[in-house]
This record gives sequence, C-alpha cells and structure tokens, in this order.
Amino acid sequence: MSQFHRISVTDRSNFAAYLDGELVDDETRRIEGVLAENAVARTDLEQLSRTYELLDELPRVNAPKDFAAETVKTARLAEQTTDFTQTRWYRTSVEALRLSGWTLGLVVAACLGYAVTSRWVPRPSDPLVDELPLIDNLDKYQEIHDFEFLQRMAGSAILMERIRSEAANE
Amino acid sequence: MLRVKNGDDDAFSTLVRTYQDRLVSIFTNMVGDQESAEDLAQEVFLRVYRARNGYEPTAKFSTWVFRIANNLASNTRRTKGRRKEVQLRPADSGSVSQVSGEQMLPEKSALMPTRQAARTELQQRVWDAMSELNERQRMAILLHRFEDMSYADIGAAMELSTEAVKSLLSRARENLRVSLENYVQR
Repeated sequence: MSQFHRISVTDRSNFAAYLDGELVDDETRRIEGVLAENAVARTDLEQLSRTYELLDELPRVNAPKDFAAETVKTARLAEQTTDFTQTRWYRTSVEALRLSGWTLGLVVAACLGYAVTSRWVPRPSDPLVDELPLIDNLDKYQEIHDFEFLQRMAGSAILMERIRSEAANE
Repeated sequence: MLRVKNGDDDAFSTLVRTYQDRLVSIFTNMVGDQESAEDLAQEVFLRVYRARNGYEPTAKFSTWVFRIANNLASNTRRTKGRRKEVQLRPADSGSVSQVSGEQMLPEKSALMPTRQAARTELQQRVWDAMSELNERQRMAILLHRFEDMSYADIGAAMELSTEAVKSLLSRARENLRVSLENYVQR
C-alpha cells in the first residue's frame, strides 16, 4: 500500500475504536497495517487523538457540599408524602389484584369454552340419539328384508285370510 | 445498593456522595447550566431510591445509574425542546459562564493573562463543538471520556448495541475533529 493510497471508509470509522482499544484482533491488525504504510492515516489518527484530549477542557463540576444531605432528606420526604407505590400493602394489593384478575380471566375463559363446545361442537353420541327410533326397530326391519317381499306377502290370499282370522280372535 | 434496598439510609447517602459530582458534571455538559444539572442529578437519585425495593443486582450499578441519567436527559430535552438547545451555548447562558469562569479554570491564577485568554477561548470552542453534537453523541462522549466506560457499558446505559456505540462515537469524534481542527493544529 502506498502512502497515497486512500483510506477506506471502514478503516476511518474504526480509528476511534482503535484508539479506545475496542477493536477485535483482526481489525486492530488491519488498522495497524494501514497506519504502518499510510502517512495520511497516521496524521488523521493523531488529530483524532489530540482532539479527544481537548475534551479535558470541559467543565468537571462539583455538587454543592450539602447535596447528599439534601437529596437523602428529599427522598425520605417524598416517600412519606407521595410515594405510596413503594409501600408493602400497595405492592401486596397490586399482586393480589393481578392474581385475582388472572383467576377471573381463567374462569371466564373456561365457562366460555364449555358453552361454545357444548353448543356447537358435535359429540360422538349425537348420531346415536338422532337415529334411536331406527335402532329400536332394527330387528323388525332386518326381518322384513325389502319392499318386494312385503308386496309378495300382500298378494298372498292365504296369508291375508290368516291375518283376518287372528284379528277376529283377538 | 443492596443495603439501600434493606432500608439503610446511610448507605444511600454514601451512594449519593459517590456519584453526585460525576452526574452533575455530565448533566452540566448535557443541559448547559449547573443548577438544572443539580436538579437532574437529584432526580436520578430520587428514582434510584424509589426503585430500591425492586432492585436486582443483574448488571453494574453504575450502568443502571447512567441509564436513568440518559433517560432523564432525553426526557428533559423532549420536554423543553429547542429552548434547551439554545441554553447549551455558553454565550447565551449566565450559568454556564459561571461554570466556565469559576470551575473550568481551577488553576487560572497560575496562568499569564494572554495564556488565560487563550485557554478561555479554547474552552469556549470545545464547549461549542460539544454543543454541536446531537444529544446521543454528546452523552456517549461524556460517558466514555468522563467515566471511562467501555463501549459495552455505554451500550447498556444508552440501550444501544456495542456496534451502534462504536458508530456513534466514531461519528461524534469525527465531528469534533472537524470542529476543533484549527485548535488541534496549533
């Protein structure tokens, strides 16, 4: 790489992290390679470093001497006057309310589920109930076989005579 | 913090003293005047105190504190809008001038008048350069420079990925480099 070789955008964006020791080993080696062969990169890095040192000129401000005492006093006072959310009874109540809500929700969901399934979802026994009259007479229907047999029986004079006489006897 | 959770107010006082200057410094550089910074720092501690019962030591305590500070700074900016941006410029803010004059130059009596003037100008220019950054860049820079936080910790405090912090700091430092180019080359 010549010293006039342009520094890539990625390399430049890694300069700050290189100065901070925040690059992984591969990236560090790459930046060190660029710096070793590129004077422009070295100048840029030096400028970046010196700029950062200028931030020492920013104000470092101390809090007033009574800051801690006032803060502790304010915290205690605030707790006594307004912050009931940190009290044990409040947190217990919230927890109980949350549990009650969940329980109520579960009960409602169970009732709804039962109502829906019992009304709209068919049960395996439903066809048996619907066909009960047929099932009760199934033996008779099986003895009859079919309609042609009934018609032949109706055409038999002996059979009809016998049926009439049995009916008269009864 | 576990002692604070168990109701030890002395522990809370110790905790406040440990972090008060750090928070006030960061907020002063974020919002531009010390009085507001102290109010914000106190609000951070009040939130810590209120949340003590639910505190679980799953992460660094300092990260948790600076996350609260970051959220508070963001909320303050959203609430106050552009008015706060105007306050960031020291020339427009009496409070910041006070900070610059009295606390930015602890060793000013040891400097020659011309050097003192140059130093004041440099501080003003650094302040201006910082105020030109967006809020997230500024917070990331302050956490890194003032608190020596790693990218991972800054990410935890600002709810960003480490890669996003890397990108944020890279852009911020490039912006600062451009803004302060003339002062770096002196």
